[in-house]
This record gives sequence, structure tokens and C-alpha cells, in this order.
Amino acid sequence: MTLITTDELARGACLLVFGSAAGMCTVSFPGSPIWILPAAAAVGGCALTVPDIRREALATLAALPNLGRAVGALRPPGARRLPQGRAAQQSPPPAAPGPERTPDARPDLLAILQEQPHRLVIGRTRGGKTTLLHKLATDWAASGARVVVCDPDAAPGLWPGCEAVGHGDDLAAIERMLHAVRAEVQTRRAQRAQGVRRFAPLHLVIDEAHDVVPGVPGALDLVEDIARRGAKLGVHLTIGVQDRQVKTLGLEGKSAVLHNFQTVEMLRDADGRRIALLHDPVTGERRRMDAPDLPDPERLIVPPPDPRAPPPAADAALLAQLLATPPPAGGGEQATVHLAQPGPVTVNVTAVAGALPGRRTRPLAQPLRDAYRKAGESGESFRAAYRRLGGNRNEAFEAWRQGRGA
Amino acid sequence: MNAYDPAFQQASCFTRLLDVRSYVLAARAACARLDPAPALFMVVVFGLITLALTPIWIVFDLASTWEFTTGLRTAAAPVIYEMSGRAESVLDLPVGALLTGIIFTGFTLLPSLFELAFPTVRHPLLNLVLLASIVFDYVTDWGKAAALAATWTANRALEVVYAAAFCLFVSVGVQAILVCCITVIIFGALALLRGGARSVRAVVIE
Repeated sequence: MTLITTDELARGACLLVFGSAAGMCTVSFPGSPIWILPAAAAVGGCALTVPDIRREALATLAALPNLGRAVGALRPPGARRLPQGRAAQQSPPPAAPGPERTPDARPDLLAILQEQPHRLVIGRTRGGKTTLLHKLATDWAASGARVVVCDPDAAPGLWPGCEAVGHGDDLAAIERMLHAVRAEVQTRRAQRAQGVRRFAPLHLVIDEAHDVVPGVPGALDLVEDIARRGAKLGVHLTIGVQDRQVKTLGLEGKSAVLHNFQTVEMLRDADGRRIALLHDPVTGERRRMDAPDLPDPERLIVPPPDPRAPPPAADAALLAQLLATPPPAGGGEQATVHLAQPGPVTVNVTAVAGALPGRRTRPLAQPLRDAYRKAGESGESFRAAYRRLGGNRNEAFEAWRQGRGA
Repeated sequence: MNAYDPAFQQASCFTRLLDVRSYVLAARAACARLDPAPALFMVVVFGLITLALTPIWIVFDLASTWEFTTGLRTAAAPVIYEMSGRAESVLDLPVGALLTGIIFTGFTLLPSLFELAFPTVRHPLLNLVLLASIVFDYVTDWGKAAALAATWTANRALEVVYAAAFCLFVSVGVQAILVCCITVIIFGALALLRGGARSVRAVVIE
């Protein structure tokens, strides 16, 4: 526990210094209102030591045209910003933010959420729910904790460092993962019964819980178990859901379970800015905060490889060697390439040849070769035969010439 | 704030030390089930402390604030009487001036009242009013505190330091201690009465 905070120290100093000055003014200049000045300084100084008042005051000062630039540099990262229209008129243009960032910053929300054992993030679609979950999960993973993510909308690369399951509504995979988590919980519970009190943190993150929890057998029991008793075992639960109705999560008659969560609602205000409503678990009071300035996790999704993309360098070297290799004598689809590493490799000529634009390496098929040979024997011109049969021009001409007997 | 309040859990030692409401709640909880004898002891001991502190509070806090506001009223008296002469039928300004003094004097009680009444409301405006009342109380108490501190030392700098510390004590500390003491006295007296009633019932049953 902190002995005394800097704000409290400053508050006491303001009261003693300016309050004493005001008191001395009342004694030294009786009847004069000069004492009001140091008294006002005392009140103002004390007021600025209150974080909420300080934020409001700095935001107001930043809105003044002459002081905007000076105070802008002093403003803490969590200070409230002006509406975009006014900010554009009254303050210098900010440094270009990342292309996928939300407009406001407030580090307090993340710190508060990190402190709680379990979290419930509520938000409608595009409200910033998954973005917040993603930030929490990836931070935990980066710190070395085991993070299990059940997300039916998961995509490759979306949850770096986490064990993500559920890609493409794969509820069976989620069920298997939850089964593994349940086994881990039971193991830890058994260890605790033997006297173990410290466990490596395990974070279970369930996004779109309104689909996952009712849809996966046993998920509700696991959620309830972890919410009630998981913190002692180092198992923490973070749930993303679109509303707070107990029916949505299948918790009818068990609404008390939700009291174990630190609840935060992600919304957009009238100006379109993302905001967060933090529910006090004790009083139920809702505290409005600016949403954290977080990057869009969608940018991390790894797209599938393009089949028409040029081959990587290693494949290009292989194909270059393949091109220098004579086609199989039988005119088949396979060829053997001799490489230094790993040695002779049999490749499908037809498959790899298509990757090289403008080059046709497929050998002329034997029936086609015979057709050209017959055309030559029958006296048909090569131009007419080629228009009719197609294929590799050089090899076709060679076959036609053999048939012609030239 | 109370011990189960997350804000209290995160508060510094200094904040907990000055949290009058937690003292009041603790005193109430401690006195709720007291037996008659300890209740009587608590009432007597805290009554003596209250008796000792009440004159200090009245002289250095309440009276000094009253005198300060009286000085303000006196300074403004010519203007007030001139205005009252002009608008006698509309406004009774001398009475208004008196009420203003009473209201200003009421500022001396505001810090404790705010801490007791709005401990969980963390609104910037309420914080501002609370701070303003603390500063106003401190300023109004300075005159008598400085006059007393001047008798303790001849060193001017030390005199200011003594005056500042004593003024802080009489404007904030005495009030807080009095609130706690009066709480103990009230709930101790209630416990005493309840215990007496129980004893009477026991006698009747036997």
C-alpha cells in the first residue's frame, strides 16, 4: 500500500502554503479582500490534484485558442479530446495516427481490467469488444501466460501467441479445448488440495459467448465453475458477449455469477467515438471512460496463399532446373530433377509448369504426336493441322515432319 | 469508503487516515453490541475527550469563522444599509447579511458533513466544494491560531510553521476527532440503554 500519493502530497502543500498565505493576509491586511487571491490559489491548486478535475481543466484550457498549443503538449494521454470538428479548428493537426486506430486513449481501463480476476466485455457488433479482448489476450500471451481463445470467428494469425480454436464456427474444436481446460482446472484443484497455492496464470477467453456457451456442451458449467472458484487456481475468464441478459449466456437463475466479473460495456457516443462504461461490481455504478486506443486486430489475419502468385525463390530455382531437364521419354506427366539437396526429386511437370507464365514446358502427348505424324503422312499442311490440333508448336512440327518423311 | 470498497483497498495510507467515515462506521460497529459496562466506560472516556476538544473547536474554529464573517459583514455594512434603505419593502437585507454570516460559518462544518454524507460520490463539483470549504475554514481559523502560535516562539519563521500546523489541527483534525467521539457517545449511550432494557427483561423473566 502506498504511504501517500503525489497528488495528496501536492494537495497538502497547496493547502498549507497558499492557505497560510491567505491567513496571513487576513491578519496583516484586516478588512482587505486580498486574502481571496491566495485562498483561490489554494482551492485551485488543491482542485488540480484531483485527477477528474485536472482532466477537465486541461481539456478546457486546450480548447482556448492561445493556450491550446502550450497545454496540448502537457495534456496526459488519457485527457478527453475535443470533438473532431472543434479540435480541427482550434488545435494543430495531430501526428498521423495508424490507419486502424480508434480516436481516443485512456490507459486506465486496461489497467482496471487487468487487475480483476474475471472480465465480461459487452458490446454490439463493431463496438470494439473483440478489439479489447484481443489486446488483453495478446498482452497476457506476450507476458508468458497461457491464453486459450475460443472464437468462432477466429482466423489465421488473429490471436498471436494464443491457443485459438473455433475457426469457422468449429464448435467441436471449442468443445475439445474446453474439455482440456476443464481437465487443467481439475488438475490444479487436486494440486491445491495437496497444498500448492501458486499456479501459472491460465486465461480462458471466449468471444461471441452468446453463440459458444449455449452451443457447446459443458461450456456453461465450466464458465460457472471458473467464475466462482477459478481465481484461486490461477484460471481467469474473459468473456465477450453482445448483451448482459442472463438468458443470452444461459445463466437464468444464476445471475449472481455475473457479480464475479468486472463488466465493461463498449459503446459509441453521440459523436461516434468509442467509449467504455465500467460497471462498479460493488455499487453497480457505471463509470464512463474513453475507449483505449487500440489497433484493429483484423490487420493480423494472414490471407490464404494466392495460387497464381509467382513461386518463391526456392521453387523458382527448382523450376529453372526442371526446364533444363528433358521431358520423359514416354511423354508422361512426371520428371525427375537432380538437386544438390535433397537429391533426385520427382516432380509433376504439369503442375509446376503452369506457375511459369509465357512458358509451356508440357511435352506433347503421344496421341497428339501421332495425330501430327498422320497429318504429315496424309499431306495435310502443318498450318491446317496445327490450327486443328494445337499443342506445343515446335514438337508438333517435328512430329508432322517425321510423318511427312522430310 | 469502507473496507470492502475497491477504492478504499487501493487508497493510500494517508487517505485511509483521513477517512472520517470509516472511523464513524467502525465506531458504530464496535458500539452496536457493547455490554452496559464497557458502553458506560466508552461514553465517559469519549465524553471527556469531547469536553476537552469542544472549547478548542468553538474558540479556534467556530468562533473564529464567525468573527471572520462578522468582519466581512461589518465591512459591507454601509453598502448593505444604504441598499436596505432603498429597497426596504422588497428585501430585508440586514437579516440577509446575518443569514449570510451563518451560512459562511456553516462552511466550517462542511468538510466533515461532506465526508460523512458523500463518501462514495466522486463528482468533480463535490470535490471542488469540499476543497473550497476546507480552504475557507483554514483561512478563517488562521487569525486565532496565529495569535496563539505567536506566544509559543519569538522566531517569525517558526511562528508561521506552528501556526500552520495548529491551524490545520483545529480546522480539520479537531472536527474529525469530535465527529468520531460524538459517534461513540451516541452509539455507546444507545448500547447502554439497550443493555439496561435487556437486564430488566431478564429480571422479569426470572
